[in-house]
Amino acid sequence: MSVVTRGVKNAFRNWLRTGAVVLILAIGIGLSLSMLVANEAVTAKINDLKSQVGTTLTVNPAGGRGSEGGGEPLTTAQVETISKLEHVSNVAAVSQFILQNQDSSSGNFAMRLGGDEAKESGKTNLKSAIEPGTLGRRGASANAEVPANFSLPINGVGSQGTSQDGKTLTITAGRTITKNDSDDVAVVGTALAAKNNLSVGSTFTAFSKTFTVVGIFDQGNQFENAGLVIPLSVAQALNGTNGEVSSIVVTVDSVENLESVQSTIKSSLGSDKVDVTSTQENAQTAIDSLKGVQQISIIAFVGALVAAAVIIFLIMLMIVRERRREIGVLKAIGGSNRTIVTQFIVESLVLVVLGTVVGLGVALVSSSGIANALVTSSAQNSAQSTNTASSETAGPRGGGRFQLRQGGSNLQSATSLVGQVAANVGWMTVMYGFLAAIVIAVVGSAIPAWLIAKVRPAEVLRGE
Amino acid sequence: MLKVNHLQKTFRSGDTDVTPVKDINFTVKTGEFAAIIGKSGSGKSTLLALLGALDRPTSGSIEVDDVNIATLSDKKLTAYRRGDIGFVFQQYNLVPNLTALENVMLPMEFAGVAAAARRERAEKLLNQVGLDADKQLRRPTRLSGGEQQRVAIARALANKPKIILADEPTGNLDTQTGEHIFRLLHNLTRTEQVTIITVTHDLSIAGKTDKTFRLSDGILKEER
Repeated sequence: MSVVTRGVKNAFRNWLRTGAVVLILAIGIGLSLSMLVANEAVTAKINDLKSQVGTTLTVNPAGGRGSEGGGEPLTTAQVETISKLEHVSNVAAVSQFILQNQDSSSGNFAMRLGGDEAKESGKTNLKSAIEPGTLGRRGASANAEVPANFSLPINGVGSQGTSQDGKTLTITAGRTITKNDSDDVAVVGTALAAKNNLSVGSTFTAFSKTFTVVGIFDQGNQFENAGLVIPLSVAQALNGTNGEVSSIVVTVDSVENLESVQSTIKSSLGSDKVDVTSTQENAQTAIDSLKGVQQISIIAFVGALVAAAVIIFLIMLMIVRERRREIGVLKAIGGSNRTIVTQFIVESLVLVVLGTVVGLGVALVSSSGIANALVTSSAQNSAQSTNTASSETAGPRGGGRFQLRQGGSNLQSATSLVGQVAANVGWMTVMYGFLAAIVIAVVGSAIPAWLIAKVRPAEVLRGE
Repeated sequence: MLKVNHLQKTFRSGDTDVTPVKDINFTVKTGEFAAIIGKSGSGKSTLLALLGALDRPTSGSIEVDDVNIATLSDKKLTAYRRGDIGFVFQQYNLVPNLTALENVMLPMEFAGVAAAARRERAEKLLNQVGLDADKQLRRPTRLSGGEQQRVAIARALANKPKIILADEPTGNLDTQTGEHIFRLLHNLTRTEQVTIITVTHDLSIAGKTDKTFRLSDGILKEER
């Protein structure tokens, strides 16, 4: 029987104690590995969110967003000003308009357009690709019936080849709209094209003019694919808004410069004239909350690992104290310190490896739940603290209410941005687990090993 | 030959210095069976620990075949205990989770003897002390006191030591079993040319050895 075999055999001298030690270690190591898995999942999520933040800013007329809008329209001169700013890599100006099917009749069916009523609308022979559905009928009087020829309005964008939010159009057929286009040409979304049997070369009418379809685009969502894009100058002319744009999408050279460019635009154009928004704020809230989870998971990982090392240290200390006499016997019959210490380290290693194997099972079962519970709790706490801060800094009257609503939006956005984290126990985790096991066993056995070396062989004669 | 000169051991106990072994001198020839008798607390076990290199003397020398073990390094003392000394204890001190056979093989493992060779010798020794094959595979808890002491003697003989030190080897056994164990040890001095020094309370056993020493208040006197 070798020293290793004897160490392994010793680990099972007392099955009850071995079971209890393995269970306690499994909980400690399992928790530690769960935290490691959570940390990896959260790091991946942070990187994902950072990539989602993007480098774009949207400039709108001050207070001009949504149904409570107002303010002065943006101008092409402002577009020029922004394009000359440092760190701005691209500027996309868009002019939005609404098209209504020429045969569409609302009768006594009142459709709610909200703030969009403020936009210019024109007649077209196109039919909307989106059915009214339940949402499209909201606001109708109780007994109102939807007319047979009712059609939802179609969103149109005048741009130089970008969508409403400044993204480059993904063309699936034909070509896109360019800066030089000034004719009555259009690119249409896949859904609108399908609804109206349009293909490249087809024509349709809008604002009493005939447009030729030069391309089909697919932006990956039904809303944008149900719309169309025409040259910016043409849209401005049709709207009678020459020199005006609805919104400007600014691309910044890096995420790091997003905030500085945002404030430069505000100061250049006047913060009372424009609102400059980015998705960074919500994403930052989410990232901040995830970073909190990242820190918690690292602390908990180290804490659980230290706890496991302390557990094995105490167990080994107890075992060494209990077996002082036996150690004395081994020394008396010629066992060297190295041999005896090795035997005890093997014993400790067996306990820790068993604890790690069971702990991996614990991590496998619990890591996803723990990671998501931590992330959700942290995201909510973070967003709620943002709400509280917002309502505290806002005035006691209407302003306070408005701020609170914005905070609520943060809560939803932050939590929805974070969503669920995918926590998986991979091979690397298993490797880390066993590495941790070796470290725990060695650290936990170091002092007991020193105590073993200190046991005098004469200990064997104690009580003889 | 074992030659002890002016051996003394002093240690601190609380605020006072205790000297259980005071200027001891004696010689035991190879193959002799010597007994050390004395009252409880007379220093018998301390003397045995010094002879077996379990402890270091404060002064004096212990020469085993002209090598003074009192001045050896820890590493050499371990080698001395492993190769030259065999211990038999009153409480047997077998490793509880090893079988009788494994217990006897243990000192040979420490000495680096190959697995097959140590098994063969362990079986031979256990047969020699009268433990049958079935009992050789039992753990100590499933053996009687006498059987455990036989295993302990076989373990002490495992590495063919020059000296066997026995600390009251029959102290926990009934008279008949004690007699058996004594005869076993006595025969070893004849067949294996092993020097045996035993500490005992039992004067009848001491009377049958080649030499008897009495230890009283740390001073050793040869009785016969």
